[in-house]
Amino acid sequence: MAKQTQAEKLAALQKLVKNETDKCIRCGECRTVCPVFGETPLERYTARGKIAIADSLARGELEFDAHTRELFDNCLLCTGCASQCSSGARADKVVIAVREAFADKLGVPLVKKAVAQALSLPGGVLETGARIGSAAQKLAFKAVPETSGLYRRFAMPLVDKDQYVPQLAATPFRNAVRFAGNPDQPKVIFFTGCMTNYFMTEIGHSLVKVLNALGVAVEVPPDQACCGMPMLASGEHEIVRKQARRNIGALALGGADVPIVTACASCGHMLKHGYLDRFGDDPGLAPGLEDIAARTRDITEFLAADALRDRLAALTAKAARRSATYHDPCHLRKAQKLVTEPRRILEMATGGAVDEMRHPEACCGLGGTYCLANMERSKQIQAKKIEDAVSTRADVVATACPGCILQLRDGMRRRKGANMPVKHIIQLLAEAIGA
Amino acid sequence: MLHQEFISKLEALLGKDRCSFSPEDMVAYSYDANPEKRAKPEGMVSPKNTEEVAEIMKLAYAYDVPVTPRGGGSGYTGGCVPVRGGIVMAMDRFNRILEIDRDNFLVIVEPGVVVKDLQAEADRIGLMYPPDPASIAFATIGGNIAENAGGIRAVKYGVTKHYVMGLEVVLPTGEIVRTGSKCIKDVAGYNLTELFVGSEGTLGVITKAVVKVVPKPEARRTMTATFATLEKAAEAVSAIYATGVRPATLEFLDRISLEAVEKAIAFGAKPEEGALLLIEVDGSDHGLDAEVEKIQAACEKCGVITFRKAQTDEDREDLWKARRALSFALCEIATEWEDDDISVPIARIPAMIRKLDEIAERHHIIIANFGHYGDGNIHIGMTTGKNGGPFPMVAKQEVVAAVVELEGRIAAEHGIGCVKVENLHWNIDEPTMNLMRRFKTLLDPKGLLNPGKVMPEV
Ligand SMILES: Cc1cc2nc3c(=O)[nH]c(=O)nc-3n(C[C@H](O)[C@H](O)[C@H](O)COP(=O)(O)OP(=O)(O)OC[C@H]3O[C@@H](n4cnc5c(N)ncnc54)[C@H](O)[C@@H]3O)c2cc1C
Ligand code: SF4
Ligand code: SF4
Repeated sequence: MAKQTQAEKLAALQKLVKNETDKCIRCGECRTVCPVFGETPLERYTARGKIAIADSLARGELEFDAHTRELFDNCLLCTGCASQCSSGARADKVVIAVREAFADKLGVPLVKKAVAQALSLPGGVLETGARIGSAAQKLAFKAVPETSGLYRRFAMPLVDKDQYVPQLAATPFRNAVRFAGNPDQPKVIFFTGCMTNYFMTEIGHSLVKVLNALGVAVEVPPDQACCGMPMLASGEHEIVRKQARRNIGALALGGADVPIVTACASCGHMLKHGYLDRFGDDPGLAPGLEDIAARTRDITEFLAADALRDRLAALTAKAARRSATYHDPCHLRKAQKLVTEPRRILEMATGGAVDEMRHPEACCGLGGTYCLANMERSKQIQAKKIEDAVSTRADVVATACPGCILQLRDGMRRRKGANMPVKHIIQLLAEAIGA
Repeated sequence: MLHQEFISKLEALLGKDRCSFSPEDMVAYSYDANPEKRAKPEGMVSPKNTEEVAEIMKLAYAYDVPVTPRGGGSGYTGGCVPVRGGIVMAMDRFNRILEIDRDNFLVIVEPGVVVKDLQAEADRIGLMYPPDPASIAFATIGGNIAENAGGIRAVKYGVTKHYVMGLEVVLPTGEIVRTGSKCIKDVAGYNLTELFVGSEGTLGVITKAVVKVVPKPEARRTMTATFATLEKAAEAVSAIYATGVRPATLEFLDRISLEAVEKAIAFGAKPEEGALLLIEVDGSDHGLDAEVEKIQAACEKCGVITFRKAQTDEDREDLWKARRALSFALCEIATEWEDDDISVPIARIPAMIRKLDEIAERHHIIIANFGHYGDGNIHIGMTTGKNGGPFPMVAKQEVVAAVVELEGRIAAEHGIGCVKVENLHWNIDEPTMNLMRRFKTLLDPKGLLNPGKVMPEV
């Protein structure tokens, strides 16, 4: 697509905002699901408020200033509002569009800019890292390409000393595995996501182990790029467009009918909806993106399909019983509507019913880069989640997104006396199947 | 323009993060669910206790600033829209359930609590708070009390006013008063509680409420029955009542609503079906099957076309599907609807529908009727269709006239707000209107609390 002029960009914003404004009947249903409104009950943080304010912005009745930016930055993009809205209004789309407008006019928000600058200095990460604690010191962040959204998740100069930072893997997952299983068997393409590739490689290895045990081969296209969610969230859509293009190429591997599986709720949301929401009107990308969207399955969704479920039940029949509680990743439950599937799989892995916490659907507060730009509110949302999880006294907290795992582990560190392990369902499943 | 001194005093009282005067916040407090009425305030305050509310009212009185209380902002009649500017008082921080008194079947609650949360708390200990407007998931208890909200169980359980036993209210001039008590029988003094229930935030700000709860019914049964005409359905309703069974819910859809839903979700309506009743009974499990049988027999006597019973929760959802899909389905017929919410004595529903049909014919418009048959509350949707011309406003006036002729009310459960003020005289004669004005002036001599609502100005 040719570069848009400012006027064209504004027209596009107006069109998008008007579309959502027309859908919104201003009932207020979204108030009760918004984690940000839950912490600070001001109408501007609700989806309804954001849509109305965006409408005024787009009409030129409000200024693009620091005040308005604050409220649009205060969104976790959890899609809770959109999934609750009977009228189908999409405040998350509006928020992304407004952030783009801000990014175009004023540059990416200050915090994120500081991160980018710190990272671009030679030795910058290591130097600033040294001040904030040993875990960060060990990070050879240089191994992670700059196109990864991880830079936006770990803004080293800004996180505090208690921040949980996972260990960088000695070998990134995609370097370790290209193809696993029998080439004659049915196969899937694995979209790893950055967290699994660089940090939580055990999630990837577990996924391979489980699928291979079920007689499914796993191919890992080496050229896949970061899904781009963190950049989309900060309004840097041109970077995302490039990544989308690259992923279309990488995932074309293996032909039209091969399912793409992912073990990251946010990646799954991005592949199924995020790209199309943003670039669905780009004729050069749309067909490829539609193809990806149609083939993508969350790993729990894939395993819960009838054909595999019975085999999986047989494989896990002898699994040791353990009690597990479950946290619904927003991008799995609200964005992909996967509620029973992960629970069914978890029950097979632990040999018993899920020990439900009080608000399993409540957001963990990570929200991509939200936790950096709005640290205090993010930690309040996190603390509630940890209390709910801890009160179950289960052996383990299971979830289905590396981002949530990061945030929950961080929360466990911050809460006195809490040391519940936090794991991906697929890890528990791999453990249940045994060697 | 707000006085700078007034602003400074509010900031001193509440701190900078609980009041705002910024342009984007003024947009965010300019609306409710009414599709047309919008007006920006000049300021917003978010108090968290009764004393702060009282101080704000005193300041408003000192500086002559209009104050508009706001709950969930889900009202349909612009009740919380600040049509005269001034400040909006957002009650969101009054969000605590203070006490559940199981032995006395009472809950003491702050007004900003979302009704569903109150219901859930009651439910956890085997109790039920019966009023259940379709907006329970987001409307507040304060807004429900201020609107005297109804709901789908009103047939058997009544409306919000039947569950409010006492209130703490801040008067416009800043005094804090307490009405009612925890006692079922209470004739100590005038019944001031009901003066404030349904007053739409024009007589005082509710800061606490004592509400009644009832034991949760053990079970419920859901049924639907279709008839060729609404008259036939009406006969069935009379026959049901004659059996002595009191349904908890008795909803209806007229022909146009039914056709719209069928088109949208194809739930299996037949062309000859011109009316649908959705019936629910609740009570102790063993008695309910007999009630269902009686209802079925009554419907069969009156020419029922299809009678369906729900066995499981899933079946129940299935039966509710048509009713729930309605608003969405109507959008398929037309995007622009003129809505009204009226009530008539229940036996006159067929007469009212006949009059509505005549109006539709006279003005070549489409009128869809549905709502709470059992309590006489009809929700009317009027439109000229997808490509129709402008709506003939005279049709709306004719609806009002028809309502009055049948001794009905021009507002049933959505309030007067700022959209029906000019029509209030149809129901309220001049001496009564004067008495209402005198109450208002007595409590709010400067007319600063929610001005422009309910009462026409003289
Ligand atoms: C989808 C939908 C379905 C609905 N279904 C129903 C239904 O089935 N039945 C029904 O009756 N209504 C229904 N409503 C209308 C609406 O939900 C009710 O009128 C509800 O009572 C409004 O509550 P709220 O908290 O949103 O109040 P708001 O809209 O914020 O305010 C309503 C009025 O109450 C006043 N007020 C609010 N809080 C206080 C307080 N603490 N003290 C004094 N005054 C106060 C305001 O000034 C205003 O006049 C529906 C609305 C929607 C959008
Ligand atoms: S965004 Fe949806 S849920 Fe929220 S007010 Fe608008 S219509 Fe209602
Ligand atoms: S996406 Fe989540 S955080 Fe953002 S407005 Fe919607 S509910 Fe609130």
